[in-house]
Amino acid sequence: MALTLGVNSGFVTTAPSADPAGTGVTIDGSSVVTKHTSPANAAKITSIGWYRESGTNGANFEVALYSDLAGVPVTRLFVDNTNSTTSNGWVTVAVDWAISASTAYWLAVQMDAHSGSSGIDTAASGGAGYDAQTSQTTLNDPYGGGLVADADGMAAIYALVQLNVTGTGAVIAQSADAAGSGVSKSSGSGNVVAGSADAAGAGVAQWLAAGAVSAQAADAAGVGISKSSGSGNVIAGAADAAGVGVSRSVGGGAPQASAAVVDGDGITKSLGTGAVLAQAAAVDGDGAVTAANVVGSGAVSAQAASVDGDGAVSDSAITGTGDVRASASTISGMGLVEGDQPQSSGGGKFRKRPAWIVPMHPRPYMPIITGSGDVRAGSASVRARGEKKMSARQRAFVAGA
Amino acid sequence: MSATHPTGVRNSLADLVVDLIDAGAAAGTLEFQTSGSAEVATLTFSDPAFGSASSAVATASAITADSSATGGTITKAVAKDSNGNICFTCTVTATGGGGDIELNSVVVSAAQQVSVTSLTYTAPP
Repeated sequence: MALTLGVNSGFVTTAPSADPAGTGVTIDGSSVVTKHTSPANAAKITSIGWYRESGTNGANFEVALYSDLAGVPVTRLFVDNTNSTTSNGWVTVAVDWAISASTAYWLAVQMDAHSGSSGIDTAASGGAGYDAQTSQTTLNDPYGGGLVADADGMAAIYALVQLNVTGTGAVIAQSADAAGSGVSKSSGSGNVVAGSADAAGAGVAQWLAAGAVSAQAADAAGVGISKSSGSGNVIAGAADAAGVGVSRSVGGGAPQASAAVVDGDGITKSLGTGAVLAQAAAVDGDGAVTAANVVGSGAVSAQAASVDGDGAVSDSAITGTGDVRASASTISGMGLVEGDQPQSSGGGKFRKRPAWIVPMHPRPYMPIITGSGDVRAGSASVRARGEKKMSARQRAFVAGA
Repeated sequence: MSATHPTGVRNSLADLVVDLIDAGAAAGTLEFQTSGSAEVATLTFSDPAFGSASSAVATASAITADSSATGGTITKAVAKDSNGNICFTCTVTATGGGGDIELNSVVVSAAQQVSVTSLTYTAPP
């Protein structure tokens, strides 16, 4: 390989090992200097090496570092003046010389005269400056010698330099997760609270393992819920994956909701084992919570019912042949007289029941006394219609016999 | 879509984070570490470490170099207050490697000087 500044001549960050294949000049009894500018961030020289292309005499040699002044070596800044080797090839000397970055220096080698001959590799071009002085017994301070022999020449002398480590930083905080955007997501254990989107969609904190999740926005399946695939409790005030207005637990947690439902029928429904509490509505359109709608083992309580969209308890839920009892004014107000048989309707069925006056009965209620029904509702309404001219909607109690 | 914040909020977020570096009695530190979290070099922030954020970016005041590093191969940097509480952790690579902090070399010899000439912290969008 050729002699190259920064590779096998001058300042290097990696020590060369190959033969630079330069032109040999006599080094024994002479001093040789080569110029180079230290790299940016240079801190110190840890080793000086020179390529002894010939000779095996163990004569003493010196290495040194000179300052530069207008292209000429001047002041000897450092010197290591007692070294010897019988080897040729790359000859190295460990040093610890602090230097300045981006500064021109001259690297120097001198070898005492000896029998036989020793040479050092050089190149006549491609360098930053080269000079040699004969009949030298040491590396002088100052160097002396006047103008250099070759302003673009170089010698196979290197300085292994250690750089300061330096850099710049621009730390940018990110909000997105690996899957997408804008969420903190945990695949492990712990509580997750987030107000923004997750991998599946928009606006949810999603918990893939066990733990409590709180969120006020949508989940992967739809809108407005936090959803747990584990065993944590889920609290939400809005809709779930199946529909509208419910929190639903897929695991064993206890769902709580104050609104609506699954199946569009006004109830909260538990798919697990938790207890379901609801203050509204019912199942199957009949004002009752049916056992079939409790899939798990939880208790279901309902305090009200609505039926078929007509505000009445359907006849199918009223068994027996009971009668209708109301105050005289209620009976009269409906255009009836005692003994008439107004017709109650519900669920598409009609049933005639005798109406009886009960003194002091609270208006305007008309309790329907059933034979053996077990449906109780505190505010159920009934559409009752007389055979002749009843058309007013009245309220009634339905009670078991 | 991801959540975004107006610039004023982002400035507050950035200030919140970088001001944590000043929480201790003394100046905070920027500790370069190996992948195994061994300390390689420790630089010292000014106190306060950062100026007020502008356009969601807080810029560090002068950071004092570690003139004699422990040495090792750096993969990350940890900003701490003087009590050792971590304020943020960021990646470190060689120049061009895409790290939050890029150094001219991540391989540091014992007693080598390590410095950072500029550092900014940008709040989440």
